[in-house]
Amino acid sequence: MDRRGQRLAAIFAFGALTLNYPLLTLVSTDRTFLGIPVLYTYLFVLWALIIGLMAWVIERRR
Amino acid sequence: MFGWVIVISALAYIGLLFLIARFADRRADRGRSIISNPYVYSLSLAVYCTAWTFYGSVGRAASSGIDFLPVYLGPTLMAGLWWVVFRKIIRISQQNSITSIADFISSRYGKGIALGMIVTGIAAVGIVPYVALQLDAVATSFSLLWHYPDLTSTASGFATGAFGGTAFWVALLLATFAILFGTRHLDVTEHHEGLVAAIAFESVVKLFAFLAVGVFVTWGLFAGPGDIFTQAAADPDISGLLQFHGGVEEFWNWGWLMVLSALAIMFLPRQFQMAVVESTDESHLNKAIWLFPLYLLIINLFVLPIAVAGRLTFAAGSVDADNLVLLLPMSDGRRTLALVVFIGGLSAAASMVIVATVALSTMVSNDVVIPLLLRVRSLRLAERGDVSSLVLGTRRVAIISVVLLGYAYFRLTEGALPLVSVGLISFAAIAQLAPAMIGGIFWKPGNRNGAIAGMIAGFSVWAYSLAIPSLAESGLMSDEFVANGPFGIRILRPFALLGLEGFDPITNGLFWSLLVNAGLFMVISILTNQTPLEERQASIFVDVFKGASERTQASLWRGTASFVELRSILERVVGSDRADALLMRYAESRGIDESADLEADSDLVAFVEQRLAGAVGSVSAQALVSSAVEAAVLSRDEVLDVLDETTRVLAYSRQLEEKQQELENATNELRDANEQLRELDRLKDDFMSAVTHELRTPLTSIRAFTEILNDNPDIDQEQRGQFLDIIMKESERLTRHINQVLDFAKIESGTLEWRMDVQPVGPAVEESLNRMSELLRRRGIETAFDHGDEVLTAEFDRDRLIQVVINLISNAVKFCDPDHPRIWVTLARSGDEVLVTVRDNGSGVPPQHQELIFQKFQQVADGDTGKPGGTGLGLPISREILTHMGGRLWIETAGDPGAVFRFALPLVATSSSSTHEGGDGR
Repeated sequence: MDRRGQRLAAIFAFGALTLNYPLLTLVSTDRTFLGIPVLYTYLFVLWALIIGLMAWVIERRR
Repeated sequence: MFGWVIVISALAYIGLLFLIARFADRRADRGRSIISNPYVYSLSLAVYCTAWTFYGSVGRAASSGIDFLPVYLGPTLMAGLWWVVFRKIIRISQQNSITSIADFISSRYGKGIALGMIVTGIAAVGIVPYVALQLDAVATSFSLLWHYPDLTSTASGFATGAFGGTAFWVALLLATFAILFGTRHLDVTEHHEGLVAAIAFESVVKLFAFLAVGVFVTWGLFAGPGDIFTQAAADPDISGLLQFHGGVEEFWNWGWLMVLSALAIMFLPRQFQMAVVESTDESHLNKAIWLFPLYLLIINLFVLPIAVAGRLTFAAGSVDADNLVLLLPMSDGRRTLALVVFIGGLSAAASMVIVATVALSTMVSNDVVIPLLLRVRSLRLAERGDVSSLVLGTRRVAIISVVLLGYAYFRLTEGALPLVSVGLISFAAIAQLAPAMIGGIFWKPGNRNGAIAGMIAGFSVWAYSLAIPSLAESGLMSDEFVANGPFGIRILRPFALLGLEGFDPITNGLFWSLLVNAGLFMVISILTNQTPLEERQASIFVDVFKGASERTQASLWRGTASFVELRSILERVVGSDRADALLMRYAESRGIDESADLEADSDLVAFVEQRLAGAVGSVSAQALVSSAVEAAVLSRDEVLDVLDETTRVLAYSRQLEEKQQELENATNELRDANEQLRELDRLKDDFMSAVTHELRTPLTSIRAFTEILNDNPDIDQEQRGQFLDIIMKESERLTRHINQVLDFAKIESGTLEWRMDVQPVGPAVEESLNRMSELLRRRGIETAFDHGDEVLTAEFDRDRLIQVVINLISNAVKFCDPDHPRIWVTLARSGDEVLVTVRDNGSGVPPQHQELIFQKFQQVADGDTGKPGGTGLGLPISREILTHMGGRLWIETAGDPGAVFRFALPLVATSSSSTHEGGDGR
């Protein structure tokens, strides 16, 4: 696997771990963050972060 | 009145799609593609988002909360692996002209007909309910909107009567679109640019519509997301949607949904169609790796706010949650927005129906109908008829059939199925392709038997644990066996197989079916063998990045093909002009001017097969080509294949053995030759030292006497004359030696000039004796020459013969008895040969040296006589000379004491010799 593939695979692993049990139990609460439920915020922020990382790996100049 | 606005808007929207598709097709025909960029490519992948996403996500979120998300998170994570997995699939597909996922799998596992049919079957079973789902969504939304502003008429997924009929017309319209832009013509690249452009456009429309309703609900109906969630927190029923409640099983369900959707995003026929088959450039995937997940994120941003808002707005159970997206704007009297939502839902549904039916129709024609028809030999399909229109016709019929089947399914279940679960069940069917796909590109030993067994078993488990229960749920059959198991056997309950309880039916069914599928695939692949064709395909697929394709493409083919036949098949599939252009381009790549000059070799066969595969799929292409190739090794009869391969291997090993034997012989010969060369080299060295020595002796004495003469000017006259005489003699000796070496070199290189004449032998022998007489007299050697009475004539070079005789006599002089030296020379006739003998009374030649003395560079250094003078070339040269003149020279081995050398020349009739008599006597 080339370097780019390795980085993308690492992002995959990162996402697979953070978007699953057991980390999700930590954010499954009735509290809110800026008025938004924590779980919802967590999932979408992480989701955006993963996309951002992938974009960074793909688009950055060598 | 508003009802007609809806109808006209819907028709106008679909009309717009037609225009866009037409425009894109036109541009493509002119070579100026509007879809060949990563943005359109990413948008076209968003065909993933169907009515399920558009209406169903909100429905699911409203009823079960956050767990609508894994279906989008899975593909997002999977995108990270696309670089490794999907890029490979795309590369393989482009190199092998793959037209569908069924084509991919059957091509990977040896191009057999069975696998393609199984995959097509699975795809069809997955697609038809899914199409029904889309039609249901369109019909439901249409009927809701038609009843505007009445919200209550559609309390639960209702779309009966006249409104069910709308689904029919929608279905036909979409089928028409799919036919027009999905089966426009048969092309070797199987690209449908118009279709792709329309789908990409639809992706924009549905995203826009959904964002519009999201923004309206969040900021129009409520005061932002904070407001929505604050209100929700007050209601424990609703706030519960925003957290997990269950135990670990709930997370298992969550995780398995991610797995399921990660597989679906690659292997759903419509995704494969868009991402792989329609891909114009592999590099477009790079941007899609992050753009497509971004699309998913954006379209899901408002799902939860809308769902919560819906729950807050409508009393529980008063409306079908799947319709909230439409009902919320309607409830606030936003007619236009509702219309936009309807169009958005329509676009989401339409794109799925269009792409899925086109993909499925390609499978039906390429992997089922055409291969089957080709098998019916009596049709002689390969040899005649317009294959192209047959293929296209099949696809059109398939599209209409699939859409109508979907419609029938929809009417049968009539809104009884929730959008998401039908979608997930379809996903799970498609997931059965995953082991064969992923194994196929990374694991060479994976074989056809394993793939077939795994798929059939996995599909059966799927049917038992998901499909049949869903029919039961929709009321088509008794749900008794779902609750208690067949015949009350509880461990066979479909939702809790083997008593595994606590999981969602999807998790349960997916887990068991994939376990059985992947397990069988691996075990049977390990236990059974691949055919040679499979082996070749496996290495083409797995090693695609190592350039395996070009290496092995044609390697397995042999037999004879006719160029005309190959061309005519190509022509019947892609049309005359296109066939000409393709062959022309191929010829150019080979550096040949006229395509008619092409040789129908294995490369050309492979080329034609691959082009055909791009149009009719690899299975059909192979069948078509084998009809033109005599004794094609790629027979469909796999047993023959194996036999063939075995024979071939045996033949190879036999050849190998022979080669090895030859090699061994050659080695031995070489060793011997080397030995001889070494010996010769040694002899040459000896000879050189001998020659040098021989040359140096006269030189030394010449130099010595010259120095004496030079240093002593007052030397007396007599002595001076004596010394000069010696110098002269030594110079002569030197000249003789040098001449001999030169002669030898000339004889060896074959450049010696010969002046052959027919003449009497006697005078030549006598002449030699005369030349030697001085020497003989001085040494006091008694010489006798007996020449008989007969004039004996032969053909020879006089000078050379004299040289030989002189050589023999000088040898005799050297070796004859020192006290009473005698030499006898005889000339006689023996049969038809002239025989000349030179004999001395010396010690003779020891028997072990008698042949040696005739070899080059060889001097016999005997203990008694010491080192003989001369170069050691005399006898070899003499023998060479005689051999050249047709005679022979040897040493008499027994009899008289002393050495007896004898040579023979073929006798020439005396009568002719008399004419030459006058020329002799010199």
